[in-house]
Amino acid sequence: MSEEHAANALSDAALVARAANGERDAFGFLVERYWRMAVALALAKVRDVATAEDVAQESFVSAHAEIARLRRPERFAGWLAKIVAQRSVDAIRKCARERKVFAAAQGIPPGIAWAPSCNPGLTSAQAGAVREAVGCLPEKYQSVVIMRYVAGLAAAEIAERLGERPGTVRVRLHRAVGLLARELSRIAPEVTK
Amino acid sequence: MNCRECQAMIRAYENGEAGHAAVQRIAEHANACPPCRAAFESARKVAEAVEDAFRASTTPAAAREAVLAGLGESPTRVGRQWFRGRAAMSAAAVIVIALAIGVATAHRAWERPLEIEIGELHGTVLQKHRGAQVWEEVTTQKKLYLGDELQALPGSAVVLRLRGNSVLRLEAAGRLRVTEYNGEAEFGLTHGTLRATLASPHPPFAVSTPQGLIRALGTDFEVSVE
Repeated sequence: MSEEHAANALSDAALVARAANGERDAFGFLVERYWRMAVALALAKVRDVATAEDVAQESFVSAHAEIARLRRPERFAGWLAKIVAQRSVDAIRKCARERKVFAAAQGIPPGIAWAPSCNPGLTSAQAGAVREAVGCLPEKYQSVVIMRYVAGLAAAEIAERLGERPGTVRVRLHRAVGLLARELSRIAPEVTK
Repeated sequence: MNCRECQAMIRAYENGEAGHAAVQRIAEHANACPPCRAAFESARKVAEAVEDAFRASTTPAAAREAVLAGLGESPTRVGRQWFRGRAAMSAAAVIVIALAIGVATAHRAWERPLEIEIGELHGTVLQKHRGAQVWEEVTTQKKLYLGDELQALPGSAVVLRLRGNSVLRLEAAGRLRVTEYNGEAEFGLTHGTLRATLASPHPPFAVSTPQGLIRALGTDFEVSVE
């Protein structure tokens, strides 16, 4: 087994312990493991891929600086999700301030929000509708949906990372999927047909 | 399998707890049962839609490199006695400043200039860097970075020269963003017309539009977004 495969097989708790001990590569594996989840969590709030990726990167840098303080290393993903949520709020506030300055200084309309269709399955408009629908879910549903479908974790794995009971996560997932199906059939019926 | 068992398996599928064999059994039952088929299709399509809609444009491997390049030397230690005495306070202050400089000078993947030259310019073309809100006027000396957006104002156009003698021309009122998907260069056109004259052979080349992704198979083509 190569070193990379061996590290990929390590649990979050083991990688966190190594990262806290100064092993940068161990933290790198955590970044790879949760990059998509972090971007998705940010994207559900900031609605712009570039800003979401900036938020995700800043969140990982913050997480690294504080990783030795994480008392339950197996809950790294849940902890990271909270950092991303806070950073997203900061980014939204900063964006609102800059937009006012920009509009006053340039007088150029920023145009419609650009949502790149970096996926083969959905158009930009459809991807935007899905993000909007997920972004409108209650916070506790957003995180389980993204951990399930973007990070590819099963309900029991999500429960471990969030410090919740598996049954609670299963109920949240089921309700979230029902809410999403209803909302998408209303705002983007072609996605669920 | 009856409907009750099928619904339970669909719940397991939603939870990521149904194996391949279970999914096969759901599909077999759903073929002959419209209500179960509708429930299964709904769960499957929601899953696919969320996965597709939340894709990052930077790959995890590229993100890893960018994040690691922006980290401080080592994570904050807890339980150490650094805060005892003035000398210890000074040491902590130096570390905090070093970390701050490390973050401020973080070398991100999207802070490296791309191998794309601004060729001819007609009229006024604006450029906006990733995450910025302010548009700057493009000159031939400007460099393009991953995530940059270009906007050709009405009556204007810009020619981009890519590595290997491929050329793109963003026509008047066009809006283009340079991004990356799975390690390939990708251009996102949201408004206007983009004309491409690609070298032969050329590396993978794609233009994403609000209507979907267009991959170049030949060398000359034009993409328009109304």
